[in-house]
Amino acid sequence: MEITIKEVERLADLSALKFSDDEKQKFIGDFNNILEMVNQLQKAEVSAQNVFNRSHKLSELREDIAKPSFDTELILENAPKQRRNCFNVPLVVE
Amino acid sequence: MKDYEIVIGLEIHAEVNTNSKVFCSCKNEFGSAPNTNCCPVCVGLPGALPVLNKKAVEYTIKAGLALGCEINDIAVFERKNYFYPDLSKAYQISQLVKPLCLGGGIELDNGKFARLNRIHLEEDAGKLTHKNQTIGTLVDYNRGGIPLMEIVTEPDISSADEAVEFLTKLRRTLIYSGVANCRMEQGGMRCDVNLSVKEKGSNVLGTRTEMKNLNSFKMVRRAIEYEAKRQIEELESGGKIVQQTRKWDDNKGKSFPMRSKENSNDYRYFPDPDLLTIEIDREDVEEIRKTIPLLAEGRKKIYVEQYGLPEYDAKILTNDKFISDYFENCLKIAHMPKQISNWIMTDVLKLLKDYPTEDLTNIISEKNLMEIISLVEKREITRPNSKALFEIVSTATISRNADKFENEDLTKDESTEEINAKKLAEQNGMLNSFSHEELVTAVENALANFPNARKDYNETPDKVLRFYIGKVMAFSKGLANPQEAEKLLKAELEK
Repeated sequence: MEITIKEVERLADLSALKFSDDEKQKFIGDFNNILEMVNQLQKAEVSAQNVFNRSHKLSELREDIAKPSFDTELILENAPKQRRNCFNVPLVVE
Repeated sequence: MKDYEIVIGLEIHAEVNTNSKVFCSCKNEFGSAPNTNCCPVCVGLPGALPVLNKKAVEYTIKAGLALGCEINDIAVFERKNYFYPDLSKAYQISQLVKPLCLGGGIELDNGKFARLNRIHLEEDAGKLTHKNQTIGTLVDYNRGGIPLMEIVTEPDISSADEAVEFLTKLRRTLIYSGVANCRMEQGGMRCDVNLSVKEKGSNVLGTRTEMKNLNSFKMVRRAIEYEAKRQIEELESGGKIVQQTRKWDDNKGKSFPMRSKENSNDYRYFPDPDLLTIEIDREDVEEIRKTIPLLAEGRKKIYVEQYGLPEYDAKILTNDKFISDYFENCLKIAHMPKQISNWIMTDVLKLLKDYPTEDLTNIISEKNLMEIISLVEKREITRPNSKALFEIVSTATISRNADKFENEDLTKDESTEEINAKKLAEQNGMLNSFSHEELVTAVENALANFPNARKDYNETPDKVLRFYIGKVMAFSKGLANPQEAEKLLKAELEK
């Protein structure tokens, strides 16, 4: 699969992001490099069975016990903007 | 105008009643201060890994079994990708190809079986509060990661009435099974409506629209009625229905198309590599099936067949689980189903209308209601006085629990003394003061005033006894204890 400008524009649109033409060209190169790297996996010898035979039984799942959460300050530490203990983002009303 | 049929499919989201979130151990709790029930997993920090909650899976399976679904042998979690700040990871962990439950359905009163397509488990999103251009939008991720079961129907529903009946029965089943609280005012149950219209008898489905996040049955009804009318009018005037997502504005009583961008969703689902496939053993399914309690229909049957309650009363008592639970708690104190049912059906439910609560002990405790019933049964209080006593006890209880109701005019009574029906009856001079001496006089009077009646005592003792008991009760204005009166009368008559 080769990435085209159309692909980049569609992803930008779905992500609600805007890019200049130069940036889009750069993304085409970047994305193709990433895909090329991932494509190396095609050479690996795996059967579908190997990939999908790992599973959990119900008994192996986590018990439903609530534990303390993180402090709100810590949770908000990386927020570029915060207000009233909330993450503050640009208005996204439809 | 042509005849049209309405075709409705519902998608219902119900928060699963667990202690912790679906992929991390943060609390599953409504109403906490913003971003206090959060950790790296549920705010989607890079590298944080989800660990699936067993109970969330078991409860979804339990819901499926209660609704007659097939449980899949394997279940897979997928990533549903979309960019919106309510989702910190930019994808929601959900299920597409292998959901936990398939099929099932609910029978409607008109005999129609409204089929389910599936039930799957996913994570709830964060809560957005939209302010204005300057402030922007505030995001609280407490709700993010709360387990959510999505229940999808087939397009089998054909009116607002059917939709509301379906939702009412679905909600009841989920609450009785204990898998979800479905508190609609808290967003614990939300509904999306897919609706199209077609010419009557036609096999070709019309183009559908979707209305999202209707969070009351009233809204569902209004939104369906509006949208069906809108589509029919559009077609009648030669127009075409556009497939779109519409937002219902309950204040305006209208729906509006959401911006086209939000309609062009491409979720690019793929299996979440962080979560393993779940293998569901049949033994586990049978174990879960055993945990399904008696549901509304089952309780109703017992009320009618074993307790001898009228069908209508049994239905009212079981419509809401909290009422049925209250009824059964009263029964445990004293097995007087008819008396308890009568009090609940009249006095308690009347108050519930003015003081909505999901806990009837906020209105009157089981203990106090049973005390009043017992006073009536023992003839220690007259019927009119028992009603007045109920009023006193419930008024005291309601003002004690004022903060649990939404009524603004309630002032809280802060006293800590226990509310005790019998004590209040004494304090208000409501208990019968018909002494033994008075009873003896009443018996003597009855026998003296109606001397002829006792002549038949040897032939029809019961009839004569009943006659005199009636006279004694009338004389005492209902205050006498009939068992005591019977004892005295018998002794006199057999002299």
